[in-house]
Amino acid sequence: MSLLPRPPAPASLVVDLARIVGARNVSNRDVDRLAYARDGWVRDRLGDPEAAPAAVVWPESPAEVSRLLMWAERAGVPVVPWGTGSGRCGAARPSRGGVVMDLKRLGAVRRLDEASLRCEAEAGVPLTHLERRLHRHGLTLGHDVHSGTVGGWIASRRGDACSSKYGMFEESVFGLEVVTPGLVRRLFGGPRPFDFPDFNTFFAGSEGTLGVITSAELRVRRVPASRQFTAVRFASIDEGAEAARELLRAGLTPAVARLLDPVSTWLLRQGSTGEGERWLERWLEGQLPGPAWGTGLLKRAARGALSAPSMVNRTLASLAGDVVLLLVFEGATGLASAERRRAEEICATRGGKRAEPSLAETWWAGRRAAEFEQAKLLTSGMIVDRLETATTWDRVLPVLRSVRRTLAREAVVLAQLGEPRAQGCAVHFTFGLRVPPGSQGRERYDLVWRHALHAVHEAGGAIGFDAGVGELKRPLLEREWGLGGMRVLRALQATFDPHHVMNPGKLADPELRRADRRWTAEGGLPRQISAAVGEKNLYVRGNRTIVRPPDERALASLLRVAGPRGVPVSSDQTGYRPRLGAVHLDMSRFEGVRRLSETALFVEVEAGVVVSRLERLLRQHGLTLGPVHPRALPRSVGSGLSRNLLVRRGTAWGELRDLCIGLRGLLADGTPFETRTVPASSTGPRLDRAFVGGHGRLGIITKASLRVAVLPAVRSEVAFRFDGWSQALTAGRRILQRGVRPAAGRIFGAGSGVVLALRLVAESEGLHAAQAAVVDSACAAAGGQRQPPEPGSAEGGRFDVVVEVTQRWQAAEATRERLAREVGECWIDFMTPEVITAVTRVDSREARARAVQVAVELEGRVVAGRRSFSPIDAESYAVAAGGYGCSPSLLEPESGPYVDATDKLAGFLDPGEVLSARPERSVRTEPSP
Amino acid sequence: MASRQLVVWQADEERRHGLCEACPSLCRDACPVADAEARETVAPQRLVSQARWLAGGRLSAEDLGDTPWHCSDCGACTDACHHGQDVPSVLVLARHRILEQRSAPESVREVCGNFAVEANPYGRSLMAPLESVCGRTQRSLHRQPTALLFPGCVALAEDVDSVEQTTRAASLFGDPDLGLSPWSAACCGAPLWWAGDLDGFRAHASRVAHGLQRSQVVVMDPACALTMTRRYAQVGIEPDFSVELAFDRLARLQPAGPEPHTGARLGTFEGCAEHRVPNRPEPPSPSGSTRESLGPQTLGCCGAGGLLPQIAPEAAEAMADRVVDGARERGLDGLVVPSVRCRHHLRSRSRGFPVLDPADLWVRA
Repeated sequence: MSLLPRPPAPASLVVDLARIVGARNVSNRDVDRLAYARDGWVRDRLGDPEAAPAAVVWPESPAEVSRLLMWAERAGVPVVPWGTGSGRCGAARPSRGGVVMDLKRLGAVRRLDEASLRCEAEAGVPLTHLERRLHRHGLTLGHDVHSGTVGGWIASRRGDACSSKYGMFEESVFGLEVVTPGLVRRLFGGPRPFDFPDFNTFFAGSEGTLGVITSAELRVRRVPASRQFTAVRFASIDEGAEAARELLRAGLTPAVARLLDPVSTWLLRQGSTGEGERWLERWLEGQLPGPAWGTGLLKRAARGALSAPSMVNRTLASLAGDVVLLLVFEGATGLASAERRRAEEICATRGGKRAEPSLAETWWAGRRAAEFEQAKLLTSGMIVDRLETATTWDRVLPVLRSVRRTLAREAVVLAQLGEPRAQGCAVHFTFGLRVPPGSQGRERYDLVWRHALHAVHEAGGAIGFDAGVGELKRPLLEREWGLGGMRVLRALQATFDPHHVMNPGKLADPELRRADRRWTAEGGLPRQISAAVGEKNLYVRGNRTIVRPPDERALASLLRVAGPRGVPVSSDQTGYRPRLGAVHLDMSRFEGVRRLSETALFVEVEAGVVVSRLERLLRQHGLTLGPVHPRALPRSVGSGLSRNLLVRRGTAWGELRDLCIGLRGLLADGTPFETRTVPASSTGPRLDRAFVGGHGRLGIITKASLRVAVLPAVRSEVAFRFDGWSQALTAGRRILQRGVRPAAGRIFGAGSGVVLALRLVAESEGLHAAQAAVVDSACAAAGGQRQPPEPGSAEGGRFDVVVEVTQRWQAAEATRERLAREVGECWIDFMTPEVITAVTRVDSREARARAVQVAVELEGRVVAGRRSFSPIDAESYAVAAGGYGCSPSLLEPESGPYVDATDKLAGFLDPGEVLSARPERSVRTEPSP
Repeated sequence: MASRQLVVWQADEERRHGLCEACPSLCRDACPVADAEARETVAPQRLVSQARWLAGGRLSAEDLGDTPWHCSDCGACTDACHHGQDVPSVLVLARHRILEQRSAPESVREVCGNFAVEANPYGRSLMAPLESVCGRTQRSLHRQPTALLFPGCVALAEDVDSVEQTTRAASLFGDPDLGLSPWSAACCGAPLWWAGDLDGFRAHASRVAHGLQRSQVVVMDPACALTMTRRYAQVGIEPDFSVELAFDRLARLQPAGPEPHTGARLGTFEGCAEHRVPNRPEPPSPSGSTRESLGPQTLGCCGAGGLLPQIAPEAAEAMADRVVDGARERGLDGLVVPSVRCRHHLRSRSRGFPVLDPADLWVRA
């Protein structure tokens, strides 16, 4: 058929596939191949399909997916996982042919846990269907889902209009079940993974290049009791942006916050949705604002004007008008209205004037309508597309202006700011351009996008905010990730997909070869090392060689010298006992606080800075890291990050795992690695997680950007006494699930009763009172008696001799009870709406082992305190990692999924075993901080 | 030539095709067939793209096979689309093209063939079942009753009891106007429309419209109502008769007062066609009833519409299963289904779950 660029799969291949999935579930018919030849990428609408699969398969189970991947590896046939093809960047486009694997038959909701607010859904479940089903139980995903499947949204790290409050979709993922060629792995995340990098975060954003996500455990929320709309007018976009920043800085969490530019604002007032497509469509109908356009010019003239976009852009710029900030708050009634009132106060102090709240409602009701206008434009020889980026507050306006300026001559551009966080926000551009027919149209489209992405990159934005990379943004990937990032990405791909059959042509093309291990330590230090770092930075204490590199360049040259000579290097970031003869890095010269952005609330620090010192420094500026894990305080930032200890104790300023938003480090061969400091990004997987929680095996952290928060103006400690644990836990769960976000909270036994102690923080009295009211009512309902709090009781407890076990709420009581009975004193800490952490004090190695055993038996996860528990056999490792839930024949034979993948990844990134030379797996000691 | 007979919407075809070229595809998740088959190929937006390529000669009828018939004509896509794209009608044109090229699937040709024999999709006269109803209810066929009961082919061929119970319910509620005529044994022609035989459909519609002229037609199958009120006009037949659903009429006439409380928790399942019949009274549920009304938005489409049960029986069955499972999941003891077509289809997959006829309930009460 002339429409498709590739021939169908030969009969023999179809027979092979039919053996795995059954003859009915494989097709090489043209009509099926055509349906899977393109996804939602608008470029593909400019003419015939440029890609096509050879065949399409519809597997029904993870086992079938696994067998298909094994077959694909043997046959060397590319496999493209497919959800509903709703992506806008061409990520699901089978550009190198092969087999498209439609996962929609994996369509079961496996489990719904209303108490701990989570559900496990298979990858092919359409999100709208999942949402409908959750609604029947009074639950919601919170995300503004409209198309796509569970697997698709995770694989492309999608975001949505509600990500200020609920985060990007991947942030709602607790755990994944993934199939890589030949294997079914069950990976579990949580508030904080332990000894290994969190592989969930690599699969999120992998766009089908690492493996197939077959199921995900997702966070769900209660349907909010109230939703409140408000809208505020500002004289300029600068003022509006400033107000939006101020809101988030105050700790408010609007479900939606959108700042529209003047033209979009005008349109919204006309009852339209304020998005560009709708605007352009109206324009074609001759309804442009302003006297000359609105009445005089005809459709043809307007169309002609699109050929001169610079003129149109100038006209638009001259249409100065006010801008409007739309806000939606949702949650428990008291909390939502308190937030709305406070937001209105803050906006008023920033020069905002009340606008009709119905504007926000209109926008919300019609937020999808605009996308439909694209089709009408396309048939008129025009293309409208959307580019979204995210950046920190200090760069928002430069990015906005830079893109506008770059595209001014090529396209008509409209912009909105949205999804703000305390650190920054997203910028959404809608641009329309005339395209010539045929291949020239595609060339022009590519050119305009290239210019736009370069402009975004140069101005400091992430090239993707919520729609993934696909083929559209792939050419810019290397610029964003740099050499080091690309190496990590390639290593990941080589680790999980060694034969490169998974969605080839997307993200990076792995070319890495795993080198033979070259570790040869013969004693004595090669002279080149002292040359690399300088004699004066080298100390020998007994049989230990210590190097104090003065800067990153010296550290890089040390690593470059150490690698080929087989000298292992350890540092305070190394989470295992270094091999004999290792050079120990003293990172104390990495002690600079490079930048403290009080505007965008983040601090850029070098890895050697001690966390407690950093906190003291921040407090002098009225800022704080938040109540971080007590174990992290005496450590350096690098050491805390590499052990994933740099987490907070309460949800007051966000999730418990999100402190690091940008990172710089060195790979084992000295290649620099850097991620952009942006509040959110969907540019491929979160590669910085190779360092965060990586125990120093994959690289050395040299610098990190950490979120900070404003020291709250109002803070209080409250305590309630309950007769028993179950009442206290019920109260705690209700408080968190109704949206109260304490800075710290603890449930502990005191005498014959149980005490729930919380530290509430807020920016204003009103917000504090609203939280306190929810706490009071929840505690009273559970039979709690208010008692005067002992100072610090919400944060009390020593953490040097404990084991920490995360657990779902409904298993909290059983876990605590067994730990208390079989191990020792136990309390509940680190509470989120979905999980708690049971912390138990251990006084011996045996007690530690018993605690781990209890956690394993009750399906909890040990997140800290196991390192000197030995020997850890592979099996209990694997079970502690979350257990397997799949057919045993498909599992890795001996080691847990984390152990094996980390080893492989280390093999690619550090073939000389400079950083990752572990003597034995079983023995672990912790170097003194 | 068919092209001359077809009215505005055919001239509009190119624009309609264009509407589906770039959009957020909200129809995809709304479409119950795409959901049941879990295939992108039968998603509404893709079906329209295929129709466009077919119209442009880029795809052949052989390439398409039976794909354009994978539709239950439920209209969920139209509701989801901000343009209100009438996908079922766009597909009818594509089917028409395929029929003209003589490459329609066997089951489609069979339906058309049966119409040629007996003017209904069953290929046999439906006069006998109609007469049996007359016999059992001691009524005779009037030439021109004030209100004409039009059971539709499915009721007469598959569920003649429901025709009897509807007649009885009408008598019970004091509706002497409702009568049967020889035209009561006719088919509205919907299957021809679904098949894509536009010439045949137009000829059939013209005959039926002529036969029913100036009467008040009370239909038992909402698909008939939809066809008469909407589809006839699309092929240039302007019916001069009014159409009312039998269920609506009975619900309106039934004596005031709550239904007898049987202790069972029932839900009323409204078919997709009922939703789209214009000028329906509100609300359709019987007065005083506490019955839960479950539209297609809640339980989905049962899969009885279009030629789906003939073309893709497995998908149609899966859709019926979902409706029944959904009702069970909601803790219902039974579903009251006013649409005879949906009821018949659901009963075939109900596995013991009560699927009830409202007329039957009324008569028994």
